Amino acid sequence: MKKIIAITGCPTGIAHTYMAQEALEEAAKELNVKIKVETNGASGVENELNRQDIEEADGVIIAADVDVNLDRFNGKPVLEASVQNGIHKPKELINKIINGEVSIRKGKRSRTNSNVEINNTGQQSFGRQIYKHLMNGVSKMLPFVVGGGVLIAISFLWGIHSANPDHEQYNAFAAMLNQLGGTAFGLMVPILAGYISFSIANKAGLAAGFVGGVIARDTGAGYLGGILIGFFAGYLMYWVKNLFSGFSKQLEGLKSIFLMPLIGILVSGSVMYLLGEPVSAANELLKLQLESIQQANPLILGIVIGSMSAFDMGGPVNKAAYITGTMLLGEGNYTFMAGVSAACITPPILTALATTMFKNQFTEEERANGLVNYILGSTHITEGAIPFAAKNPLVVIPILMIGSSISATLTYMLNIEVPAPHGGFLILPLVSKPILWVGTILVGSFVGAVLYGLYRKSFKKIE
Amino acid sequence: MEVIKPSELINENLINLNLNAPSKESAIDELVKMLSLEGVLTDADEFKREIFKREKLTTTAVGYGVAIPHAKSKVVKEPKVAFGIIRNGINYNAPDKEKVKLIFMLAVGESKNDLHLKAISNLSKLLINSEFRKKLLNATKKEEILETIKKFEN
Repeated sequence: MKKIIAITGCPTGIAHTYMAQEALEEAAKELNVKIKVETNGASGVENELNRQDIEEADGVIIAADVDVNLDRFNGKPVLEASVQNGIHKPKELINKIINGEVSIRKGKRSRTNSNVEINNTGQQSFGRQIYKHLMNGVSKMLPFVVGGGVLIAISFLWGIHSANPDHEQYNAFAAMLNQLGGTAFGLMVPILAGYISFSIANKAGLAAGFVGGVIARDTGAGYLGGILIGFFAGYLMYWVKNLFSGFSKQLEGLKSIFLMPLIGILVSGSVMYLLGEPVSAANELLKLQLESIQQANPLILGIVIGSMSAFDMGGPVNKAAYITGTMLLGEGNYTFMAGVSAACITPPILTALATTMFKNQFTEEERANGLVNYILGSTHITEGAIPFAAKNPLVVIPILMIGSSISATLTYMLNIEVPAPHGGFLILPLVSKPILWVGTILVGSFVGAVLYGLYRKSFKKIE
Repeated sequence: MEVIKPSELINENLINLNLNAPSKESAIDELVKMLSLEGVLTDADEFKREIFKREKLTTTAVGYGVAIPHAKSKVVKEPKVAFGIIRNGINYNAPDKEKVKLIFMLAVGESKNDLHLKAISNLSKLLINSEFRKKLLNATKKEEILETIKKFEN
């Protein structure tokens, strides 16, 4: 049975909207078609279409004289009509959809995960979409980074060469941990590329992106290559899918299980194959650059990383710094991550210290929050500082940024290495200079805590 | 949950089985007068302006010989519906070019009461039903109109 979704709406929203709904529902019943009608009337949106409704629909009828956000129907046949046509010619509208006389709405298919997002998707800017796809890939990749990274780091407890059978440090269990971690690490770039592509082109994009990602990994093109090929594969498959959308229904199966994967893997795989060498050279250059800044100018790097990490505490800016750190871990650079981790741990510890040192300046609730933040900070959960920052972001965030910058800068100056991407103080045994590292974090946190406390004091006076 | 039925929005004073109006404008005048006499409106002229403002956007004739002029305004004390039958029909720019014989004027206040809106939208939905329209047109007494609405709203 065909499924159709519709939206009705009119300027006043008290009569036509519902008449059109009724007319469409009646006509659908007669034509033996399933229909769900969302009404945009005076009492708001009712019978709202959710993501599943949209996914399953064979077509969309817009019978509305008011502006309706159509972006959520991109990639679907969308028939736009007046609300009067909805009332008066419902059968005609439905038949048009059923007979495939309606053209498919162009534009990017929105892949929002919740209804809330669907509601307020305006036309998303291109930059915003790129960011969304990238984050989609990154979020799928992180479990591999964290799990694999920590396992590799643990294997180093037996010595840095514990996985090498020819070395005297060799330990069979450590070698296994190392291998498990290595396997997870090895999947990072393919997963990243695959899910960036998946985010853009849905199922059609996964194979092309994933295979491209494996080739990026094997040619040494690394993350840079993975990101590039992920986007390439995604947009390629999105385009191919649209190109094929004119195919008759009988060929649907052939198209989606045979033609599209074949084209996708062939094209994106070959492209990555050719790009492998130049991208890997660029990758190498970038790495060297970062390492040289790290050594030559720890202050600037520390301030940049510290400010980024504390700026939005777990938000996109923080994540950008964090992801760079994890990527460099994969390349064997453990110094960069040390600064990022220090900068991420500092904000919650800073707020915790402030509530302890300046008890009278904080409410009971804040002090309780502060206590919890000792734990959150120790386990690298930057988000713990958000409740404090939210109360007065314009002052508190700069203070957190100063604290984090100090921690990160000291870490870089002391050349501390942290081989695991997460875990806070739980991974201290793996840190090259554990006591110094904790020291740098405490120094940054202490300076910030004093600033925070003093601000609270003067703030109270003004009140 | 409390439910307001469409039949609660209308009474015999708000029904005219032989509305004598040669044009859309005069039909609207008559229906506004009925609402005004029933004490539904605090300012009949303002309400009429709102009605015409809505008509200007797009005609409220919906085809099948039905029109539903309506307005949402603060001059409406309580949501009510006035109903008139124009036996000869009038031109109302209907999408199907048919002359309009059944006119429902819907008056809704600014205060957002979902129950009343629901009742109005339910009444509007009934108009899609050809059986319902036929019964209204064939009615010879005001009670029949009320009975028909009551019968179909269930």
